[in-house]
Amino acid sequence: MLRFRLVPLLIGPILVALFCTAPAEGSVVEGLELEELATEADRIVLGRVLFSESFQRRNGQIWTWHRISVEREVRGNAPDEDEVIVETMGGQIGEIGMRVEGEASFQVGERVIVFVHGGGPYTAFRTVGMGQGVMRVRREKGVDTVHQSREGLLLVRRDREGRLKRNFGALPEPERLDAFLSQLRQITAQQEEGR
Amino acid sequence: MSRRSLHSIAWATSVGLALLASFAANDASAYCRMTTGGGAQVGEQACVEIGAPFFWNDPCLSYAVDRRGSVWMDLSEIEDSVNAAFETWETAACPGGSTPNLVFKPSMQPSTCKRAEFNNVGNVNTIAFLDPWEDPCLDDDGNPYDARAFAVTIVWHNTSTGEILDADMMINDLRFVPGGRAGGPYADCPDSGCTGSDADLRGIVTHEAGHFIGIGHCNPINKDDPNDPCVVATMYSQADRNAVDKRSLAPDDINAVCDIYPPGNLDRSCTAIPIGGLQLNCETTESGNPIACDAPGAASGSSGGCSCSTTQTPANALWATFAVLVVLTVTRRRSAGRGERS
Repeated sequence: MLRFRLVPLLIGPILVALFCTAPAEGSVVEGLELEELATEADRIVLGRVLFSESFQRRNGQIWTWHRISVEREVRGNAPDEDEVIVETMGGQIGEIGMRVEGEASFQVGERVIVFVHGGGPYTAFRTVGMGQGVMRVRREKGVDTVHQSREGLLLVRRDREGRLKRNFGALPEPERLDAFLSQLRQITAQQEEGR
Repeated sequence: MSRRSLHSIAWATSVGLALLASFAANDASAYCRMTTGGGAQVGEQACVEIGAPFFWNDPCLSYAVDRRGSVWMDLSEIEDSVNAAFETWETAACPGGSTPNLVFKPSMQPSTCKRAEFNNVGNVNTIAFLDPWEDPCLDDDGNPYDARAFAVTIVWHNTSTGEILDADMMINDLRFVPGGRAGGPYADCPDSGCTGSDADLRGIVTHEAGHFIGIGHCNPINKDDPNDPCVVATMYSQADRNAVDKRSLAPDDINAVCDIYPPGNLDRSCTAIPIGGLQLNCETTESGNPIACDAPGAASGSSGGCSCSTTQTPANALWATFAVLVVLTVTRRRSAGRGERS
């Protein structure tokens, strides 16, 4: 029995090696606070990435559609829709790839919270603030935890005088999913009242 | 060898290989390379590059600033800033006192190209200021660049090898609106730092030029430590842009460029020709007629259609996979042995 108990123990560190990967590149983008992400989002959705598909536009640029199944909706009111389509610049078609640094990225199968705008029933949404509009949900020590991806982003922020300052984005440290959703609901409720 | 010893060896081997897989790409440095696979950066984790790392096969490179310049700076001022930024990488002092095998040759003429594209029939690595902040060939149902972005770098690459085919740098030429949108003003700030609301163009382009040659953001060991090798680097993902410290390279940046382009024989007499030949004007023909956005050869190299992506396998995960196989083999053999004995 001892032997078979060891297998999961061995697989643990291996999975860590497999998934703790963090390539990073960068566009220079204004860092957004959580309230701003929420303000600019038409929909805020907790969901799972089902499928990604790259295509070529008329101008030859490569874009990618990502289908996300809706698990919970924090903002947005579309009870008949169980999926949202999110569009990102860049992708791969055959041997040619186009990468737009700082653009949102998705891994098929992962759980995410997305802050999106601009889409509709027949048009794809875009994430707010490029990659800032995607937060990844990871299970850590049995707890669902939310992380903000800063892949590809050089975050800065203009202060009141217009000077640019360093910025750490909406979620500098990981947070529990339930606490984060609760905070998000509070923010969106306040924003709805103010509208 | 006893079972217990075999067990211990299997355990140590798998953990060791797994750790190797995690950190092999990172070595002792904080820098990360851009790769074909990209992937989700979450938290402050070590960088492991998924897929093939980006590189220029012929590192004798040209670029051209769009002739229309910026509303904030004259074309000559922009070119001076951009040239200085690229030169910073080219002249990095590698160990031994030599420089990277990398030459940047600014085009003798500015480009006429605000399109981020890669063609079969001629290209230019263009650096353009955009107002409106969108691709001039945007579809009716397409989306502009993100309003919160100051600058984006678009890198065309070979998805198998990681060879960079073309790189374009687009800079948001709109005036910033507090709480609403990113943008200028930009300036070549004095060494003492920017004044007013100016952002240092040279610093921005030096950072973006790092991506231009395939370097990703570095990975800090402790982001709260102001002396962390990554935090002080040009390729760190945070910046106080009224400061001008992104203009000069930190040791980690130098490690990156010297590792990717180790000192070699390239010199300034090299010929820098983009793939397909140099085509400075991507908007009009020699006779002045507009080049259609969907002109044959534009941004292709592919036959169109779509590519459906699924999860990608990290290259370094091969080590981890090997470790799994070792463990499973040991376990299976031992199970078989026990079965025979019972």
